[in-house]
Amino acid sequence: MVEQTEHLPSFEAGKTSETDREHEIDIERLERVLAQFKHVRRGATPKAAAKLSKARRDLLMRSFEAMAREIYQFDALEIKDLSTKSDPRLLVELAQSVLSDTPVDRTERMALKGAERFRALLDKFDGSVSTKWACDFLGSTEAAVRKRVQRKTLLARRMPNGELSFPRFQFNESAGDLVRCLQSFLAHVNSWPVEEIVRFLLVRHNPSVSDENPLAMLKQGRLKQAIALADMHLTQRP
Amino acid sequence: MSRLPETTDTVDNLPIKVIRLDDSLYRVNSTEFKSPVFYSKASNNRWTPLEGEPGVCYFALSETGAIAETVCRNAAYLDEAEKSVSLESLSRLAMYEIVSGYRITLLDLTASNLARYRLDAGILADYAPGLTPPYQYCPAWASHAVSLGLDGILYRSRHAVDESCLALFEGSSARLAPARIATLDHPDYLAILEEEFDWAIN
Repeated sequence: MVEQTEHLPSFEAGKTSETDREHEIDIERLERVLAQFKHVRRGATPKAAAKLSKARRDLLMRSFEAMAREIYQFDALEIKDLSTKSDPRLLVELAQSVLSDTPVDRTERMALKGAERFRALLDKFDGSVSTKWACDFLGSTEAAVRKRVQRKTLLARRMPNGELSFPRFQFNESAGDLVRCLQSFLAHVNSWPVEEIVRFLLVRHNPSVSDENPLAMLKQGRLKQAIALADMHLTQRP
Repeated sequence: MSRLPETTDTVDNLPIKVIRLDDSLYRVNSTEFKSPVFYSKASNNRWTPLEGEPGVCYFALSETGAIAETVCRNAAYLDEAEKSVSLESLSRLAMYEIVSGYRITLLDLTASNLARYRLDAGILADYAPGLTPPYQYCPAWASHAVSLGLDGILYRSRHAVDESCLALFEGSSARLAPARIATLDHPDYLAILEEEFDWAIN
């Protein structure tokens, strides 16, 4: 990141300077983007809708300003690199940039790192699939699949947008079913947080001697061994 | 390279340490149990004696050591993507401090001159996949320590080599008084997780 920061355009109406015009923000484009998301929720009173709308605008402006502060610190190479990123990756890198510059809460920093690592771990095992994909694969209705998620007989994480995200590794696509022994294993660790179950299944249990993880054990039908490892998970031992 | 115990390995010619448990011991344990002190007889723990008993309870001499032996296991071998734990899981684990005024006598495998006893650090990394349990030396040394009337074994954590840990045999002379400090989602423990082990949370 460059030490010398470029001049940041003012976003307040009527405060455009000569320098700002050189870096002019395409206001029309911004308005078009905002218009896409303008909608009134059914059932909301006009007052509530207006309040929500204002809160959204404030949040958007705050996010916009925070992102602008970071983007205007990047040099040409960094800008070029960021321009090729996907939206989630762009947001992650901006957030990392904010966190590296600002004294922040450790929990936030670790959580951001954790979210990235979790995604990387899942990606290594074929990523995630949508609710529709899971319904089609299992030949079940959405309601039935959601019920299974609630009961933790299927692994899924709720995303910030409310959608469910299903780790793909749990599906045995050649057999059209779940991975062998997974149901019994999930029943055993029913009280665990979903993220911890996923991590336990995917992380190598004895990496100094082998790359095997508990998921591989289940696929081989070694349920007892996987359960024995689960019983020792996060326990203090040599 | 290490070796099995021999009949000539008596308390007079082994690294023996007597410690008075005024200093704290630390143990991370699930909050769902009444007491954090649990003597395990699991054969897949390296310091379980060959006979399967007495049970062994594992402690660390520091909070960092206790975290290394629970949450941050295998830290040296894991990829970055694997180094993470859920905050919810941390909230279900607590750090316990255990004090006792009793003196205990230990086989001290943290001694700096293990070679003098024809031992080396290999004993701390003992793992033999072909065997059941998969250890060549440790269970035999645990049995030997019990037969010598020792209370336990002091060893270095294989997950954080600077940290000393204690395998305490059930029925030892120590009377333990555990006190809960805080759950592991406490900022002090998050600091250890991040700064000492580069761990992340979900």
